[in-house]
Amino acid sequence: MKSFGESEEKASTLEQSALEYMDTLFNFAMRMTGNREDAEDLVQETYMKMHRFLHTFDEGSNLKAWLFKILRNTFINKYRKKLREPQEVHDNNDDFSLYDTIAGESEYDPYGKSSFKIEEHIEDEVKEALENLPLAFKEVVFYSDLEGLTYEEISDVIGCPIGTVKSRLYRSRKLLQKLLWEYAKKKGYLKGE
Amino acid sequence: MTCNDAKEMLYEYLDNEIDRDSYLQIKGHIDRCRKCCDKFEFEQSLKKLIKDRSQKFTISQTVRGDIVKALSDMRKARESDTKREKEQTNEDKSSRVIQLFLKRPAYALAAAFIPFIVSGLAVYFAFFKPTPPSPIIREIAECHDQHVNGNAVLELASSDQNELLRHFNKFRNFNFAVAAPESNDHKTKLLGCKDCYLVGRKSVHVDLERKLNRKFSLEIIDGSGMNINHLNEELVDGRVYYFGRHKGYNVVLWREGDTVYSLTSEARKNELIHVAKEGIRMRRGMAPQTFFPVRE
Ligand SMILES: [Zn+2]
Ligand SMILES: [Zn+2]
Repeated sequence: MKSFGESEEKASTLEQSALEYMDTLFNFAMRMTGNREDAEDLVQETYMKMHRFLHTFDEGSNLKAWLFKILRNTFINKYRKKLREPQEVHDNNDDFSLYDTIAGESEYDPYGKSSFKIEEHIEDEVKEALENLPLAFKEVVFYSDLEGLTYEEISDVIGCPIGTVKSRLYRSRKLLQKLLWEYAKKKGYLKGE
Repeated sequence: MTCNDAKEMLYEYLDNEIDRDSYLQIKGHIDRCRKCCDKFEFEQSLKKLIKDRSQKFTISQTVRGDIVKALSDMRKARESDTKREKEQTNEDKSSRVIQLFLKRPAYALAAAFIPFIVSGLAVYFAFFKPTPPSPIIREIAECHDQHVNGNAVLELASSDQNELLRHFNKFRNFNFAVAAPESNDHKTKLLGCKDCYLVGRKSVHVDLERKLNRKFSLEIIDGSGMNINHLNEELVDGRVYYFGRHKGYNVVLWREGDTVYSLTSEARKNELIHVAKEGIRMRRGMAPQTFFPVRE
């Protein structure tokens, strides 16, 4: 039958493309589990499920986002983690702005001649800050800033409306900035009080 | 556009999530406003910094090789399976049609005069493929039936969680993970449990009751080396559920390490999956080698 060969071929092509995301998926799994062994298990399971459920993949959509979704849900089921937004961080950090803080607390003059170059002041803190974000925050920052998924794709992956994606990203970024500020201050890169 | 308007759209702007008009408006403001320009540039470089300076993990070559190989093996298996199946069903179909004609000459006679019966039969054989339930589905359904309509007696008939927990200690020396199930919502009630054997394997049978006095059976089965992949399957929230039907009962199975679980009742498949996901949870730490996930 012609259609069989065709769909077989299509599946093979999709699987090949999916294999290109292996490091990306592993990277994500490492962030969720924090250890290589569990992360490897998750990636393996994700590919096995992909193989079996490839026929349900909607070809117009983003393959990478679909794989994230499988991995994420496998993670939730396997470790019974809840990826809900932590409530307590809302109150304190919603208005925190690293830019305003630096402008306000350091000797840097934001209205001076040269623009402030953040990368000259913050380096390894990024790793530390990202690692210490609550999972629900970490994942949206990962999807958006590291993997460039659109709000719509993120909304599909985490199963929340786009409004939630926006506000969660906002809060994640605020908290991330706050952590960056604290770590940088601790290490003395920035002159805080 | 004021500075505040611009600030409100900051992230949508940086994330490329705004339409062209808004983009131009903000761009126009930033170009004119030094304060916003600085802020936007700062946030932009921070976004980039987070991407560039975050840790990049790479999977080990061994695991990568394993995955690539497993996928190619599965693909080959699928290809040859489908081919074989197709040949077989073609054979089956033609031989069955012929046999039917041999046994019932009247059919042949009718068919000879009324050709549409033949096409009707062809359609019948192409679309109606009777599949006998697999032994595991049959036995699970029959065991459930015994517990609902028959005279199966529970070893421990109790809804008391502590009593159940104590009783589950005796299953600890099974060589598969047995953790005591608990009700996870107010609608699901545990009624008791007993030892059970299914397809020659050890299992723990648990009776549950849901609203409207509907009975469910949960089986915790030694699934080492057991293959349930031939059953129909469905991916729900990242977990694969297998299912089958026998004697008017629906059976849903899932796997957790070497342990296979099944849930059976008259309820529809989706309700069974719902109960599996939301209605029960496994109490951790019962068996030393338990695989059960932690629920926090
Ligand atoms: Zn402005
Ligand atoms: Zn039983």
